[in-house]
Amino acid sequence: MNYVIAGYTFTFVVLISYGASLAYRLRRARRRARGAK
Amino acid sequence: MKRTLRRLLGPVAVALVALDVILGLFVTPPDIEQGDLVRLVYIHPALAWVALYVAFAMAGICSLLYLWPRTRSMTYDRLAASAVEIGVVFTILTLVTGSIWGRPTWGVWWTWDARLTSTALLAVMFLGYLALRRVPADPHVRARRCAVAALIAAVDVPIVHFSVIWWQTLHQGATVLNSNLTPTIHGLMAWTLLLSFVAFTLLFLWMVLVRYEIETLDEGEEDAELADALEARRQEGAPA
Repeated sequence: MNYVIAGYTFTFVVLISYGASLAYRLRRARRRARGAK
Repeated sequence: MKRTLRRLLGPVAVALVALDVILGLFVTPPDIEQGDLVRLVYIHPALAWVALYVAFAMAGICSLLYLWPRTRSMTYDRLAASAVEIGVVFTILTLVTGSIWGRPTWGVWWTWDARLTSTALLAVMFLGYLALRRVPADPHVRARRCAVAALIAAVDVPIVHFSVIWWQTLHQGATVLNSNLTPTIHGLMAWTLLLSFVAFTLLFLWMVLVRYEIETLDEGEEDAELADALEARRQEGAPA
């Protein structure tokens, strides 16, 4: 079961981190686009 | 419309992935041979499906549409770039979860098996695509270079798929999409497996929509910076 927990944990840590990075980049891009207008 | 779709897609995808995890970890039965290790089947094949058959296939088709003069549009370039970035994340997850599964079943973390090696090669080639995108160039020149690179890398996708048929490998053959099209698992396990494919595909599509918007906004900013620089040169009296 330890291998299963390791697999699920790694997958969701990476997916959540990548999702957070996308959210941050989207917010920054929108802010810059508003500033450029 | 696109924003509404994205707002709807996100929560649905996250809810389905959460349901997949609950069913996979707590509801489905252990396998008669692999025991609890079989629970990795509810994430690993779905991650591989998204990386290979959804993300990189999408990148290949969009690149082809960009290179075809009649359909050439920066939209395809941006879609391909979005699909590749997310596809690389999913490929790395596929390799790592496969390695975690391989250690207790095969006795090794890694082996130079045809399926594993061709998948690792695919990840490296698409990492090269992402590096190529960062090379400063005119947007159309960059799009053309990247489209060619994506098509070269996409050649590896069928090689990964057929590797378990063409060569003798440690990796098992297809369970669902086998040559007889007869799934060799059934019941709750099969439905949970199907759910995992749907959930991770929707998650991927949601991420592509978000990534696409970032790409569009960043390109708009690059154009604005270029226009400012040209205007500054004009005001200095130098030929632009």
